[in-house]
Amino acid sequence: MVFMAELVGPRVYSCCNCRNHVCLHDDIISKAFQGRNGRAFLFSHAMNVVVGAKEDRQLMTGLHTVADIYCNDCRELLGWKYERAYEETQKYKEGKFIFEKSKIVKENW
Amino acid sequence: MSEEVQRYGGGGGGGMAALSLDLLGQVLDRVREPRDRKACRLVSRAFARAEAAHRRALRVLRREPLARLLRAFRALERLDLSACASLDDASLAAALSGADLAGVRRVCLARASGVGWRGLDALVAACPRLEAVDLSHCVGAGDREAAALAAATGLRELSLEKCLGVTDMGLAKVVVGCPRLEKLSLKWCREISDIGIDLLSKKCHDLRSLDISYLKVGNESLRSISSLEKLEELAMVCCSCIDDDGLELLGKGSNSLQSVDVSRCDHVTSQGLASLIDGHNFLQKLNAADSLHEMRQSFLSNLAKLKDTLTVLRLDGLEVASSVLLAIGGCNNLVEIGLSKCNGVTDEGISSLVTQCSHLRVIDLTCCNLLTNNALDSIAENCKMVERLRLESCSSISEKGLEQIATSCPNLKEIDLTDCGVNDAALRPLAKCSELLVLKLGLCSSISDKGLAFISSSCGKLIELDLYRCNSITDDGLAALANGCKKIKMLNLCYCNKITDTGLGHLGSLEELTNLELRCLVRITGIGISSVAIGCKNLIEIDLKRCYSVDDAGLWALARYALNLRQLTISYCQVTGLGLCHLLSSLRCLQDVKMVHLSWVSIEGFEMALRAACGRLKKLKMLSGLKSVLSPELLQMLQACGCRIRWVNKPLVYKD
Repeated sequence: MVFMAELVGPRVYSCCNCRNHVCLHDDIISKAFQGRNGRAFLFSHAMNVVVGAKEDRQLMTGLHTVADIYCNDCRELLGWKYERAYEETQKYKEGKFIFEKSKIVKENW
Repeated sequence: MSEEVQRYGGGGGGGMAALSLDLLGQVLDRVREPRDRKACRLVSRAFARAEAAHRRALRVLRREPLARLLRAFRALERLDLSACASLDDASLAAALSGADLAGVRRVCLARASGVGWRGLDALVAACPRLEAVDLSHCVGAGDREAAALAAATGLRELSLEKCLGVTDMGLAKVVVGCPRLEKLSLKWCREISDIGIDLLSKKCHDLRSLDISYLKVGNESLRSISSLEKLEELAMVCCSCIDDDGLELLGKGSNSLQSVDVSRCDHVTSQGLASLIDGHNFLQKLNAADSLHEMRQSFLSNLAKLKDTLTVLRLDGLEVASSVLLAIGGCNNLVEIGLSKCNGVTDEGISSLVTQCSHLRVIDLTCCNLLTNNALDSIAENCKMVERLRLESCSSISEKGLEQIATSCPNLKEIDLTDCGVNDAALRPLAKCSELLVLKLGLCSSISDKGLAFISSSCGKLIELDLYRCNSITDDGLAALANGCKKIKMLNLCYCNKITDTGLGHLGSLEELTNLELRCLVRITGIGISSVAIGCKNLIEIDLKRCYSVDDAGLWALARYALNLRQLTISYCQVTGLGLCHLLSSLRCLQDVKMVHLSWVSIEGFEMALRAACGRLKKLKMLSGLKSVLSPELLQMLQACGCRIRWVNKPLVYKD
């Protein structure tokens, strides 16, 4: 609440299913995205994920080419990666990752 | 002259002079509110003396008056030094030496990172009746500090949470020196092993509550712990070396377990919990959040054994079928249920649960996105006592469901509607909840001033309001809030970018405001900051990240008026070295500063500003590029004074 939790290393998020480390709290760019089922966060990096096939999808912010990302241990669908954005204002998302809030858990903090 | 002293010495006119100091003290004892006690102290010298003679708890904010305060208050039992800026061994020892602290029982030194074993030695020597010490988050504390505390033989409660340097050796000293320990927290003390826990279990037979969360201890520790007959509370959050075998050992042990927390233990399964419950039929609280993957029948059958005693059950992150919820409902005395991020929670499941558990007061359904208004109807019909309702990301609910809740549940104190997509119509029924203390509406971008008007009209007890990214809110909405919700302490207006200095002017009348988040409010300037700083005298935290129009004028205002400020974020603000230096040298309580990407501050500016506040700062967040250009002496000095620095690598990007 008033103070942040003290750290023992970087703050890690894990796959909700198998606790594989998939992203870092410091890599969060935005907490105001919508995933398939609710709230999602935009991360600049991801780890231990498998990137699926590219496909075009009409999202709330317009047409994008995205690829679903899966946990590389248990194949749980965790979100997607933005491969291409077709509007100038959305270009900043290219190469970044969406993780659904309900699919990731805080690991060590 | 002496006549005046006699007339006013007794505390004013009328019968006040007839009251002895002791009687007056007893009257003042019954004044509970800290603000009112302060007012009483100012009445007259007699009032001040009476209050001082009877005061039992003291919270010191700065180290300069510490010595004088300890001598003035002779009846002290509880001493809180956790917010005491610049406290170090020398000043603590000096302050303790002249004081009579025979009555002091509880001392809080949480986050007092400047205090080490010398200060603790002095503390233990000065307080012979010391029973409880909180040393949590003193990250530099280690075995030497533990040894100092071991001299307090009467110690009953000790928190060493986040004392990262404590090892089995330090723990051994404590358990040998303080055999009467009843409550101990070793959370995060990752140097501690099974050996330390074993010695603890052999020596401290009176232990009632133990926290070994995040430790790397294994099943052998649980074997040792299972011999502690008086143990009622055991927390093992994120203990990844513990598994079902360990829980089975606990299940066969002689503890008197009432509360068990195995959240985030990835090797624990419902089988292990079943065997735990088998041995402890009087469990009241069970927290297995984020640890289980599936639910075996053995667990559910054993859960039925707890039907009379179980009051709290958390199963966050689990895949739950409706049959599971039906089975859980068998525990009719449940007061709190946690189903956050549980897949498969449906309206039917909730209905089958709540029809059996009418005593529920806390219901967490975060991310249960299948739920609709029907679930809310069931809750409203059956759980009239509900106080806390968490519905984040339940996007299918609407004002109809909330109408039912508001009508049937008059005790509602907290409701979380973050990301529910509700609009102003949802706030009309909520206005009926006059007991509402906490309201979260983050990401509900359709909420406008109209909705705020509903809330302001009758939720006068509101303490916390979260309007994160409710970007339709304007200054008028804040005017209504300032009028109707005068008790607000915590307010989040991040990204509500229509707000201007006028709006902040309204906030200036919220006298109780302590935490204010204003991220990315690009229109506010130093003028608005001044209004807030002048009016909100209790402000302890303000977040101005990405308030691109805030410049030195804003910092001057904070430096001049926000004298209680402890936490500040000014990343990306347009401030210069001059403003920063003035701010850091003026605010004597400021301990935590986040200042990433202050592009107009020179290296010299940073040097001078940080040197000015060196002894006080506890946490800093700065751009990693500065690590190599700031002088090594400065960085060493900061570290020596107990300051931790987080270096980040963020690209300079402007958002709107």
